[in-house]
Amino acid sequence: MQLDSLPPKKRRVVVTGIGAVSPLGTSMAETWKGILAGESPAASVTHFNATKMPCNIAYEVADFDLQPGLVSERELGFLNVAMRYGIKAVDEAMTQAAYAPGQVDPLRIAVCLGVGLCGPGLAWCETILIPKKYNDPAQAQHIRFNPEQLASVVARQVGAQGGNTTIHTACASSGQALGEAYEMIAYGEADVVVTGGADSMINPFSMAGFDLLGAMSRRNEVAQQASRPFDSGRDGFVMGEGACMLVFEDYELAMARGAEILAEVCGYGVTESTYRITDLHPEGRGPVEAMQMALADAGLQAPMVGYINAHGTSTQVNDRIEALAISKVFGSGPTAPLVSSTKSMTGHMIAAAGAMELAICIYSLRAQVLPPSINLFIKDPACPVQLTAATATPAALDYALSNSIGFGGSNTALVVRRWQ
Amino acid sequence: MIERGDELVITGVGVATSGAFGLSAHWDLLRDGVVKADADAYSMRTFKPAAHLKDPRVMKAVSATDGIGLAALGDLHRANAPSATDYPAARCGIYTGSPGPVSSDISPYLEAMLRASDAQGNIDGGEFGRTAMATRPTTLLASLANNVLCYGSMIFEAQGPNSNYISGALSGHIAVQNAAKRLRRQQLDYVVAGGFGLHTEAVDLGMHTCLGHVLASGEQKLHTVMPYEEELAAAGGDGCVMADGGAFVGIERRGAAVARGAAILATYVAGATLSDGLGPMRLDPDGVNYSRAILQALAAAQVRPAEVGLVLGNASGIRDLDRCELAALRRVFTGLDSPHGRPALGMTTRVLGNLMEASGVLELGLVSKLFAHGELPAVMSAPASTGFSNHMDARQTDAPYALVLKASPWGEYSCIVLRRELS
Repeated sequence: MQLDSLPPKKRRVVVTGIGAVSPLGTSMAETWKGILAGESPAASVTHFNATKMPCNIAYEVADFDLQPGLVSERELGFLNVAMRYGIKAVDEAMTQAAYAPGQVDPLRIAVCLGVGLCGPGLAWCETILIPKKYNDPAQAQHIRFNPEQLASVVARQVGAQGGNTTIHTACASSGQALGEAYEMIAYGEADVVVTGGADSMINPFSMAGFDLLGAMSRRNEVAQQASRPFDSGRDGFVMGEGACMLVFEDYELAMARGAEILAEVCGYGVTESTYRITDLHPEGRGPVEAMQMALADAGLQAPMVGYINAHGTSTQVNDRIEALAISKVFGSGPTAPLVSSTKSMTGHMIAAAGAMELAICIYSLRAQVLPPSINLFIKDPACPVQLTAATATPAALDYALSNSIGFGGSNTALVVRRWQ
Repeated sequence: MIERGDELVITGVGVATSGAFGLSAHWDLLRDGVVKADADAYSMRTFKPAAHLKDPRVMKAVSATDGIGLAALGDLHRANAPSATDYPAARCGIYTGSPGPVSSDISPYLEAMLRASDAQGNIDGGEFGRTAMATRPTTLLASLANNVLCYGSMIFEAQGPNSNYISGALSGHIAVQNAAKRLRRQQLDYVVAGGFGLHTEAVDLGMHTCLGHVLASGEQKLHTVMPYEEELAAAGGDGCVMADGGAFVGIERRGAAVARGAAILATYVAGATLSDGLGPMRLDPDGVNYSRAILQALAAAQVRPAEVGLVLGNASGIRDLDRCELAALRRVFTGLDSPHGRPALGMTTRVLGNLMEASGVLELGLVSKLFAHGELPAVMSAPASTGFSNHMDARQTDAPYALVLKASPWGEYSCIVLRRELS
């Protein structure tokens, strides 16, 4: 066991499993296929009747079914829809990681997730809230809206006893969870961490709330083209949902057991903008330092990064300030890394976004392909970054970086290295 | 070995509960055994934030729950905050433990949403928006779980690493432990860490009641919370009393704390967190992994059980959890069978109730006061039937370490090891 009385030597951290449930498909392979094809499955909301909502489009998960046997009936009572996506994604990631029974001490396996707030729907308001039946036995089911339930079930699912952590820092949640998972292994606190994110805010309260803040696109009539990061005509984000889970592992352990290594996680930066809840600092304070911290942690010079998966929400403020921040760290000339936001294809998966986007970075490194920038009609001249092409493009990539920027001012940057 | 100047020390505690405001006031309450038996005493529904927190930009966006967290942070800031010249903003961090958002904080908006829907569940977004806007324009923001992290970072000018944990009763402890790790790794110089929650409102209280964790008396009589009392638990005294509150600590390196003239309350030595991995609301009654969490923390601290003079237990009043805790403690302190050989075992729950996210944080500031006092006040003492002592007087120098424990019915356990500060 690692003593925490002195700063321990850093260990190398690798990724040995990835699973996803996204609007592009119910596996990571399907999601990646959709990314390569430049698909945008946004459409009118079906999860609830949203026809009178100012924004009534979203990227919804379709054809999802939780495989029988993954969780018990009792456990299902603790899980909302986003958490169920998470269970499926964990199963896929753990299957890929392919642990033999007893290969890892359960006390050395931890769970660290970024989980969204979801929120109750109209049925709960009708049956519990309005009649004030708070002591109705059905109120026990309200526990499924407490984000920490997913980590508890995942711990049982994967046999983890090394501690459960649930992080919520809005859109930075899973970026932060991945970063903390990376550090747990790097600093010897765990050998394996199941990490990632899950969220679904396609519900009336959240959709109306974000709309009131002016953050959502109202291009209901052209749903598939509404999320357009870095485009001069962008008018807000389009809600997505889903889960993405990764297995982070100590490099030595992965090598010893002959695991297939998908990538190496080599840098993490996290800062607080200390500015406003919803706005970015006009000079990019926060994201700039997070990216610099991640590069320093990875021991990299900026030109070594070939691709940046931006937070790129498609809001006016985020994209302009994030692009400014990227240009401050990486420059904006021909040697600067190419940038894209895959939220034009997945929608904004909120607490799950950071994990999904790091997984896309890993697939990009493995395939040596840059994801496309779809829905880019007229690039905003106020965004000083070079964007990827309109279609997926081959590229020689060694390192990729993923940004997450959350309401509340938390910013994360994660760097991954191609595994050869 | 760590150089003395690099030791992590707790230099301030900010705390706001229904019983008192500030560390000293809480110590008075505990020392004098003031038990608030009135249900309303645990609620902070009438809580009003301190004047300096009434920045309109802040208050329009936060909930009553956030107000409690900001009050505790405000208390810490007044008592302990380093000046801008002590540490660069990028070397200051904030780690919070918060509850989820589903509480009466957002109930008015949910009601507005329902009113704006027709029989088919078709919500008129415009009408909902107008209703919500009439109450508060930042409807969604009040439900964000990381508001206190954001505004706390502004209060303390903390631009460095940060996080917000939603891990039930362990949230505050996880925040403290992870903040301390950042200090240990030289990634930060000063951290603010702790938790806050509001759990006496109807939605949350109803949920915990339905889950069977709240004392069944229905009157929320705190004096009936008798942790570790098997017979009383069997006779209907099984359950906790939910409480509202916030508690944060400031942690930094001893050398820097001394240089800036900060008062030192205790040394933070190490921490550990484990789980049973059995799923929600399942725990091992034998406390095997609970004891492992304690032993891991002790090993990390390089401290033997015999050097522990004080344990502040989770002591929720939930029978199965208390039984698990006692089993874990007996495993750890086995062989120290004489009353003098075992540490004192105490709690704050009989006075303050179950503070959930804020629990186990105030205790980090109380340890040295308790050692100096020499024995646990009666209201903080575990019953003699546990086999643990309530005295520390003969052990002040031989056993200067204290454990602060947190546990949840989800089978999740945390232990923080402190060393008392000798005056």
